[in-house]
Amino acid sequence: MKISIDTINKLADLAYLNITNDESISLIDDFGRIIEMIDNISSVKVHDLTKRLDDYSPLRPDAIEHSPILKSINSFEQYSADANCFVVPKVVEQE
Amino acid sequence: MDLHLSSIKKLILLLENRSISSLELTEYFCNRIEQIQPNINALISYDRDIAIESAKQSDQRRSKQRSGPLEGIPILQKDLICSTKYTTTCGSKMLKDYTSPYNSYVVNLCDAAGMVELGKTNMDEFAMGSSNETSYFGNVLNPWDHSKVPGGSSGGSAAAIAARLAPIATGSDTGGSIRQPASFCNLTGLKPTYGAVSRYGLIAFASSLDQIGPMAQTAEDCAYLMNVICRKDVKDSTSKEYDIDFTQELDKKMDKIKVGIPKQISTFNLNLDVENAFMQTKRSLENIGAEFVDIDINSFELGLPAYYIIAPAECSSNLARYNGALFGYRADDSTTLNEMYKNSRTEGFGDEVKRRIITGTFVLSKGFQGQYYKKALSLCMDLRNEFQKIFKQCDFILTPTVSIPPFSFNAYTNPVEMYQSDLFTIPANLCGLPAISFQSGFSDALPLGMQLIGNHFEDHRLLNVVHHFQQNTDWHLKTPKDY
Repeated sequence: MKISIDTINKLADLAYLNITNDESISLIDDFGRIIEMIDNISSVKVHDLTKRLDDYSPLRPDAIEHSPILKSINSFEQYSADANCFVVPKVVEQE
Repeated sequence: MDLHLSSIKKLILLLENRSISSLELTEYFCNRIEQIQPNINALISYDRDIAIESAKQSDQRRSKQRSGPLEGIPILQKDLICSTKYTTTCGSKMLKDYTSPYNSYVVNLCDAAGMVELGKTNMDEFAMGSSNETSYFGNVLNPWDHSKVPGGSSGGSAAAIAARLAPIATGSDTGGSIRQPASFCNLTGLKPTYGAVSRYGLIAFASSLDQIGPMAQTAEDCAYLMNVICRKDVKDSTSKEYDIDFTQELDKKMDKIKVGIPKQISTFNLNLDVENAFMQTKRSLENIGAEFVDIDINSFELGLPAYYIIAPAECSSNLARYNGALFGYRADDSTTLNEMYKNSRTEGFGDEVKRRIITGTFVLSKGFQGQYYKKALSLCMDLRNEFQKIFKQCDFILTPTVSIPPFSFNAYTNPVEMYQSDLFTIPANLCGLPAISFQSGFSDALPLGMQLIGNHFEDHRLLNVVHHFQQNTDWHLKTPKDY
């Protein structure tokens, strides 16, 4: 399988890692070799557990979803960047 | 008196009959650590005052007739096993200043047994590596030859015991991390059955594969520690009851054992000296009553890709918690929360850890999860079935621990070449089986080890066979020059 810089960058983003362009290029080589090695299982016949595993552990989309709380923290940060601290959103108390 | 060459059995006797005190024994090993540690970098944490204080408390307990089974015996813990006395760094910049607020179950058991914790041993970062070259705290040097690696990831524990900085140490084994360094440093190392030793307080790499175990000069020494650390723990849901006296089992007459030899062994490009040592080990086992049968096994070839899917998948999930928010390294100068997460992880993790996190993210991604992760889990189930069929033909499986002798630093230009060195050790982790590496020969003054794999909860039988082997051979008595 051909691994592109875009794939590496997307994986790094999903894993919350910054990688430079040089690191991406180096990772393409290493990662390509790793994929080649783990691809050895593709031709092996196994008892298929996929159905059971799908029931047990359903797939979720490959995307970083910012929860409303996270979004609100980020919006607060715009105001607190100079204060060198994180502002926790105030919990609205029920009357 | 050469206390550093004494077995645990002898040290217990010396302490019991008051020939030495725990304080004297601890000071003896502290002196050795202070003298030798700068040459081999085997430890990350060491504090003479803490060790001496523990030793004094141990002597007080003995004077009050409240001794534990390993009262006063010094121990080193691998630095991913949480202990409140020292930092627990996992060999990483991410946790370089982290001190756990609680003890792991293993440390609590060692404390309750009266053991004196001398310090924490160096290791590959988050236990990812086979050479100890990925530690943030620098390379550990092999006491047998400083130009060679001590193995990994428990390379610090292995080098420390080979240099006799303590009588015994703990290691952890996810794909061979106890057995491979034991082989490279001329030690006996046991990876117990999955569930035999609690993982509570063991910082996780791949939770379904990780297991704590002993590393020492002999199977007998390992059995003493197994008696202490092998206890069911309610805080680890995978912990199982395995109530046995490992030291009593050692002296039992060895059963008429059948040892399986994989038919495929000649296809694995064994180093010539390793192959000769393998044949010699077969003869030595034959001399003590073992019979051999040929077995057909695919697990070694298929285990490698399955492992390098499952372990990174679990690692990417387990290491998601290190984001600079709750504990561990936090990068400066981030303006948003996401930036802080990314910067902290980027600056806190080393290259190998990042590589495995990215691999794990890939095999768990929606487009490839079925092709890789789920298939690897299915394959793992098949490998377990294969082993159960094989254990109907034989009691144990004999292989070299590693196909090559200890290698030089920077010997591998790409990660996959190094991953291949885990070929023989990986299947035991994938299948939760116990396996032991024991001293079996030399290649140009560098130690070689052989591995016996047993069925679940037959750890005591593995120790029994290796104990009998060591009664009839002297490989385990050899020590590195100048140590």
